[in-house]
Amino acid sequence: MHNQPTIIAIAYILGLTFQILVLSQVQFLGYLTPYYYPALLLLLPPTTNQHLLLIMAFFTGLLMDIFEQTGAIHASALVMMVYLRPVFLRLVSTQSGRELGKLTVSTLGLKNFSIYIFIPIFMHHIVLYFLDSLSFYNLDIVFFRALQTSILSFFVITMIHGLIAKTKLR
Amino acid sequence: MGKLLAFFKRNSSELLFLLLQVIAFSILVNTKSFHRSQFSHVTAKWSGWWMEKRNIVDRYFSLQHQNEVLQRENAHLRSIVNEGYVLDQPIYFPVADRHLMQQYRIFPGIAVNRSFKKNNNAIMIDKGSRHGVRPGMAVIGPKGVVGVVKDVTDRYASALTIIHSKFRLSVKLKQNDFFGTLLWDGRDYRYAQITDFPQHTDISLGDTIVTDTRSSVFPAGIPVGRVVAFEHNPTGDFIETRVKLFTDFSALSAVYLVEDVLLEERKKLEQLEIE
Repeated sequence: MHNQPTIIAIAYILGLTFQILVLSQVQFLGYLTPYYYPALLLLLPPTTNQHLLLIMAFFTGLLMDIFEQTGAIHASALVMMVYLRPVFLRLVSTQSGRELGKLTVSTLGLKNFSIYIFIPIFMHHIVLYFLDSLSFYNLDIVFFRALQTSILSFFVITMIHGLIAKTKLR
Repeated sequence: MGKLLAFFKRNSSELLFLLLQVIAFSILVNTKSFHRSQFSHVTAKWSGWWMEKRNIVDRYFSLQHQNEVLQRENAHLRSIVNEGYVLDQPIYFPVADRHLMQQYRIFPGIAVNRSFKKNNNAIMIDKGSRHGVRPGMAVIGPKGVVGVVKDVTDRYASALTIIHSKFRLSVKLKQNDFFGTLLWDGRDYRYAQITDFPQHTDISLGDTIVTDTRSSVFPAGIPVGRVVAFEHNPTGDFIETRVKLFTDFSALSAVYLVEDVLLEERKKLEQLEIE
């Protein structure tokens, strides 16, 4: 009925556009920018080829870096997060997510969805801000800023995917 | 050979992960070594295009604010030019026709991109070597000091700002000439620190901090910020001072580039001293 890969590709491009054109321009409380794009890779079907995921992560991150002029910190942080994706999947499901088919709020349940989003996002943000400062002197600032941004990103992601799930239920 | 192939096959995602990380890090090191600017040459073209397009939209949102800032500055300048003064003396003084010489040439630019959320913040200005911008030129905003030009391309220049972890600025108290060094601790982009005012400095809250004559980059007396807190360090001999910066790096658009006409002459003298 539906061509699954095409839908995923369109959703991916839409999500990335939303990140670059809208979310990247947001400065919450003066300096916090929510990052939605890690969720795009996290929520791809569990059966997706890991090599394909890593390469997609690299180029998605690099695109973010070009728009934010940050060298390759997004690429590095995102590749790291995607590399550990199987570990996060094992946290919330018994068969690395294969039995779920799709990763959405409705298949995972809100609790597991939150765990599966927040932990990788937090890790991604810590790597991101650490590479941005590139020193060990202000680890406390890096940690605190990563935590603040993670909470913001988490809310944005949960709201978007919660809304998608709710619209589909109707 | 077969074993080697099997090893590659078994660990293929680990190897791909490592390969991508190595590529990412080499890009990172290339663009981020602290002495060079943050703007990579490979992506500068695309970024420049994007920033320019975004800036066209961005500028409209801050037009009112930018106008107010520039208007206030115009008012200030108008109040200090000659027309603002009247002759109050009955005696005429002989005036040497050329006793003033211009040391600083100032020309305008626009910050097309700025960062203030990072640890090392820079701005990109829409003027480059073809407009006469050279590395080492001072950048000031309508409200006060902004930074120093670091790298220059044909049409763009990137400048390190006060809120860069490696930036040091010679400053003094406006009313009594005690001097110190301004630096940024990487926390809040609105505040900077001065840690080397001597213990006997006559300082009070609300004092204005301006650039010092010791700074070889900035003209003396450019406003920097206002003292919002200070503390006598019990162990050291210094006063730790917190300064609210006049320049708001989250809403910076119009900037001025300052060319020092006498720079070559000073450099020549310094060269002689070394020899």
